[in-house]
Amino acid sequence: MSEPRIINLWPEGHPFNQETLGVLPRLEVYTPETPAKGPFAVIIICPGGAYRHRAYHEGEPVAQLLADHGIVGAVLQYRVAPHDFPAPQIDACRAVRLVRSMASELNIDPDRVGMMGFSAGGHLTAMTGVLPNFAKFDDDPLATYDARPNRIILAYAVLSFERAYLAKEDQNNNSMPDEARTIFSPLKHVNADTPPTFLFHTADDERVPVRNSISFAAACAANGVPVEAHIYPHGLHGLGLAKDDPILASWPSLFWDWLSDWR
Amino acid sequence: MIRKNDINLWSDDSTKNPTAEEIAQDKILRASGERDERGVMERPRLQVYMPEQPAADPCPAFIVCPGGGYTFLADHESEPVAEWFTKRGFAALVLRYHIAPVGYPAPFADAARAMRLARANADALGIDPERLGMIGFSAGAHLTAMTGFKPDLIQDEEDDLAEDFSARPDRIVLAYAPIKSVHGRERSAHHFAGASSPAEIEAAMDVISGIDSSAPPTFIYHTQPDEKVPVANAMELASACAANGVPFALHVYPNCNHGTVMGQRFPEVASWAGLLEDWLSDWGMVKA
Repeated sequence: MSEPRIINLWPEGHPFNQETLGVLPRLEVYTPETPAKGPFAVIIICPGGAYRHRAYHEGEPVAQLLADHGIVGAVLQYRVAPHDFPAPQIDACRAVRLVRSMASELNIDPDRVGMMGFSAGGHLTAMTGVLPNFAKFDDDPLATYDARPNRIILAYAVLSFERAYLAKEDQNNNSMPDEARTIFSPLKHVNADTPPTFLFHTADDERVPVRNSISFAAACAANGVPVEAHIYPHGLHGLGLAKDDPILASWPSLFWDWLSDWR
Repeated sequence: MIRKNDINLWSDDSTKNPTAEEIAQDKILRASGERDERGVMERPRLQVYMPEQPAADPCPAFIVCPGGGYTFLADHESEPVAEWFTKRGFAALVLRYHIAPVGYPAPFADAARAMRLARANADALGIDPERLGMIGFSAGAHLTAMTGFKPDLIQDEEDDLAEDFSARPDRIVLAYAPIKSVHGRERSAHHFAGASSPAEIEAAMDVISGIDSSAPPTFIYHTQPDEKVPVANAMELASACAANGVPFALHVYPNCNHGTVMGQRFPEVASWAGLLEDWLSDWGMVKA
């Protein structure tokens, strides 16, 4: 596997070009080494980490696997703490626009741009899917490019900040005002324009209750958005591709089936 | 698979068995279109299929409830499902339950009785009374959910096994299940006029109200484009399982209409059967 191509999201000197965890906001792009010439579909990957870090196992290995399956995988190193939301979403929207603006250079199809996220990265992905214009700047030369992904993949994602959707230990955290809970809850914003969605969750996830995914799937169905949902009975939060679990390891294969027309 | 003798649910003299005259009359009514022509009036019973190579001794088993809107029993959700299970080392008992014009509470009494009979005859059949699941499709999934979540709803005086055997399946599989049944209510209102009010029957046949922490592990499968049973039914089932701490799996696909059975003829959803195999791997299911 070759080294990824690094694409910084922001020009030097831009106020958003802020380093977190030792890297500037950027995409790390893994391209398939196949006889196929492309253009390829691309999936931007948002690792989880509670907006405080970015889990390695939900980034590079996923991108490598995508590349093995004939899809460009682009790990998004979005800004995390001390920068609060919406900084991560500003980065995510920028990433989608940037990829589309570089379609021919990256040999990708601008109409097959997916976004995939785990846990908090799933929240970021869902927010970008339901509110792609949340982070738009008049002076952004890329603002003409649509920031809405064509498909989204949400793995054990946080999809609502309403208290009933939070783990018990988080329910009494009052640091977020009620208004923000609504704005930052993708579940509240699902509509007919929401991209086709694939959900994966385990029913006994103690960090992110499974009802996040059930309700999101129900909202997709109610709005006529194509949805595929796979909820397994058991499994810890944060399993990533779960390649060592004899039962859960099937979820990526379901995901490949779902993407069969993109490969 | 090895076909064994059927097991009748009710004693020979039970009024739950149709008489020869009723069967003859029923044939005429179906031929004339007054009753669903796909249905047939028959004696309630279990059709027993054993695997050539059991996955375990004693053999895990599933009672299979075909769909058909409580007006007929779908063939494609009967023997092909038994074949699916026996190929993977499980026994399958296909339930021939009451259909229209007989409605509530008869199908539910049948299903509870079937569970108890299977357990009472476990030794003779070579099946495991503690690894006895129930799988249903469409209306048969409603019946399965009712048996899983409300096993004691119908206290039938003819069920002489009720004191000794539980009617609750150890696991249930719900394929495109409606959580309420309108068909059954309409039919029952006709057939059981005076026995219970329509509102009482509707409440009795609501699946969700039966879900509590004692519910068996539940596997839910549905397709989003289902035009007969909206996929929202599956979401409600999953939500209620989650809220009550019931172990569950939910698998929803964006393709295919109602009635995909085990997915044999529908490549886009065929993976659901593999997920079910995995879900039953701790019962010894052999992957095909």
